[in-house]
Amino acid sequence: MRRYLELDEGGRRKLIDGILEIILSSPNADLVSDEVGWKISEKFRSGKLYDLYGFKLLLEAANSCDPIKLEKFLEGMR
Amino acid sequence: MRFSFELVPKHPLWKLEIVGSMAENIGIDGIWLSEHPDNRSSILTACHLLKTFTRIWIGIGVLNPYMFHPLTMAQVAATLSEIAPGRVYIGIGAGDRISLERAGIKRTHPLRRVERCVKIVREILRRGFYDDEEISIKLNFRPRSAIPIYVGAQGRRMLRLAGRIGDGVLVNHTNPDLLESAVNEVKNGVEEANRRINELDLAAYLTISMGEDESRALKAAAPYSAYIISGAGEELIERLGIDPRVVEEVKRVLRAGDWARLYQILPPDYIRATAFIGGIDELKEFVAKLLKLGYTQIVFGGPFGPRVLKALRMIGEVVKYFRRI
Repeated sequence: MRRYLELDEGGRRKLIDGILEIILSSPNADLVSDEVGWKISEKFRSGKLYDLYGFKLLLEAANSCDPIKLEKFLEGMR
Repeated sequence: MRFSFELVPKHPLWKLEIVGSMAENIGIDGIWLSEHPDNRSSILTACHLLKTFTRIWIGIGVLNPYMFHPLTMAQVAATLSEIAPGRVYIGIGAGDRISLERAGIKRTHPLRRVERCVKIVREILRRGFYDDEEISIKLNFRPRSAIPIYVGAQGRRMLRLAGRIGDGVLVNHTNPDLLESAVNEVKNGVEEANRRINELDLAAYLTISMGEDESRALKAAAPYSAYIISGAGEELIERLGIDPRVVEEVKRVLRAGDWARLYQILPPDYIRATAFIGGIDELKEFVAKLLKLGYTQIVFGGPFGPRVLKALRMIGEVVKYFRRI
């Protein structure tokens, strides 16, 4: 997953909706640490999910609650 | 016409906060937080969301008089009004019979209990105290704004009661025929109380599953339909045209938590009878029909769809459409 952190802002923006969708649609959101969840919400509300830190948080959360879906999504976007 | 979301505090608070933020962005007026004893507290969730957001109102819906004393309800509502005056609603209903039984509580005389509860809560919120031959209670502080009381209703007699005593009614149906007959029952109650229908906010509390792929939308709605069917009384099951044998099977499957089996035994028609399945155009048509029937608030409730973010944006399109016309 580390290679996705090397994407530029444009690249990250293309993936954000899909990753956020995985998190919001997952029944396993309780597997995401509260600390990460609150930070994602803060980034979402300030419109800064696309920055490197926001993107990193999204990847971490999706990997916690639905790693297989995340992997499939990222593979499909390559 | 008002539009709101139903959010279920089974999800972490940060996730509810994200959906709440989306709700504000797409022009939703408010959020109803459903109360289930095995989920997060709707009251504490309301407290957090009211502090977080500055525009949308929050309704707690619904609290039942078996688990919450009327004084507690009034205390909660009045305290929340201190955080967000004018943005607090409270829903009162009989509660889910099965959940109450699991907690060792018998849901006796639901009509009488709800009517008395609404009366007491209203009196305390308006005058600061309630006195009768049985109880004498008061609040040591005043609510900071008027707090409308909605009555959650599904059966005919509860709908009629809601029409008599509610500032609003949360009609807990999605089936178009039942939503239509519910309006008539509420109107009967309104007439009995010498009120006018436009004095109350008539809310259709819908189960929604939106998506481009119908089979996935049906699958997302199946557990919701299963809970609706398993909690429905005989009369409602008959009116929905559901085979009672399937109801028993659904109850067994729910107890076992066997979701894979649920999708096998629950026919798509039964899911459609209890949940809205469709896309933007179908939802526009449905909402238009409800507004024509006299509904003044549309509550979009879960699951929203197999892809939640996409479904919320689709709902946003529908809301935008009705804001324009």
